[in-house]
Amino acid sequence: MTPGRLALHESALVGAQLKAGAMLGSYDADGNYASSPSGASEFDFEEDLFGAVRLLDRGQVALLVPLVETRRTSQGRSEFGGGIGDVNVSARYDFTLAGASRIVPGIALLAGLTLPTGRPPDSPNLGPLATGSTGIGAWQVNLGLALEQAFGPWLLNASAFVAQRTARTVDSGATSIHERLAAQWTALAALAYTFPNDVALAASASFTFEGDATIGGADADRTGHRLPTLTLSGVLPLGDAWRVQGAVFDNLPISSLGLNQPADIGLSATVVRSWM
Amino acid sequence: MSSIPNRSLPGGDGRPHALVAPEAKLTVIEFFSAHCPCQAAHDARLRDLVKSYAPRGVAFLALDSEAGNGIERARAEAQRRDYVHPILVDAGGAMARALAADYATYTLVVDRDGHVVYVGGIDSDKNHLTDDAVPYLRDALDDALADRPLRRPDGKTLGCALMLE
Repeated sequence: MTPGRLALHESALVGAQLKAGAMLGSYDADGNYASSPSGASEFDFEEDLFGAVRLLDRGQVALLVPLVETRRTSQGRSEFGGGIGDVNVSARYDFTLAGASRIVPGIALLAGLTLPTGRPPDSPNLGPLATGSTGIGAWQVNLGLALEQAFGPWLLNASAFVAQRTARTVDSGATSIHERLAAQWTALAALAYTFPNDVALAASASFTFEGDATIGGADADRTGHRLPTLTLSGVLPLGDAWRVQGAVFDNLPISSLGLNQPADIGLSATVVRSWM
Repeated sequence: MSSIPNRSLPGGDGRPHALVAPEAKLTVIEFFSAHCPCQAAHDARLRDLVKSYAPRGVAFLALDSEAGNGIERARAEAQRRDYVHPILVDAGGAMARALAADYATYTLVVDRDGHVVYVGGIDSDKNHLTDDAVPYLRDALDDALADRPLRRPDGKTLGCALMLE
């Protein structure tokens, strides 16, 4: 999912997004949520540069280049590290447009490829607290389907995505481990309202699910992931060519909803320049 | 599209209107949307165009092809927007389909024989008007009235997707 989606009639855009998040706690392998222990903290930052261009009347491609930083504190030690993250290329094709029919919603096919341009967690010299890790270390292919329908100023969206990561070999000194992450599924629902002055507000909820990884050809029990996210966002157009977007997101700190994941709260700010 | 069928559609003013106005040198047919921000943004410009070009023999018609259209909505919207030109009711969106109108503010200019002179948007602005917008429709009317080739026969339409039945 890229923040650089071309709106109707836009032929190209470029943008920048700043994201900052604070880890409030984490879900363990049983799904129990626990707040971060005293003295431990993590702040995550991301600066994305992105662009999109319309290649077909209904088709667009986008590129997103992230810079990722982490500040982590644990047991009296603080560390800050980061670097370029995993670059993503995505495409979207709208078979039908939201609002063009009372019955048939907007239907779009989404596809993406994430390149392992970041540094995976097993890389050397990441720092004692591993803040230099900026990627997953595997190629990732995404496929998604988005349904949208407009009801006057209201827009309803329901989307589903699946991501498949390539297998990789992790070297650990004299030994090496062959691992493959399970397919990652994401369901997303969003409701947006556009005011007469073109300002829009949206609320969305997403749920990401990933099964157990495979390590050395065997299922690695209790390594799956789940993560719920609630996001409130807004768009403020500054003329037809510029817009700023802002969002607040939260991984709900409710036990059994998440699994093997940190739970963050954060915000993002985005500026977009588009061309018709 | 080289010409349009000369149908008569009911208007919110209570009268039927021919799509090719018989007494006009040119007829402007604009596909209207009651909810589209681009439409609302261009209301004042449409009123100005009508004021400028009606005395020069140009007829203006707005077509409401969207789901839920009807005489009452056409009347109320024309009144609310202070339109001098009528909004016609395109039942079932038949004319929108026939004339390949996908977006609000999609505009055709036809001559007195129904031949299409111009197809496209009103200007290069979408929802926020600027002083330096390219006036596609105004240019097309000026060129057609002067009997010279159009500078831009197909300016991009920037309105919302028309919600047809």
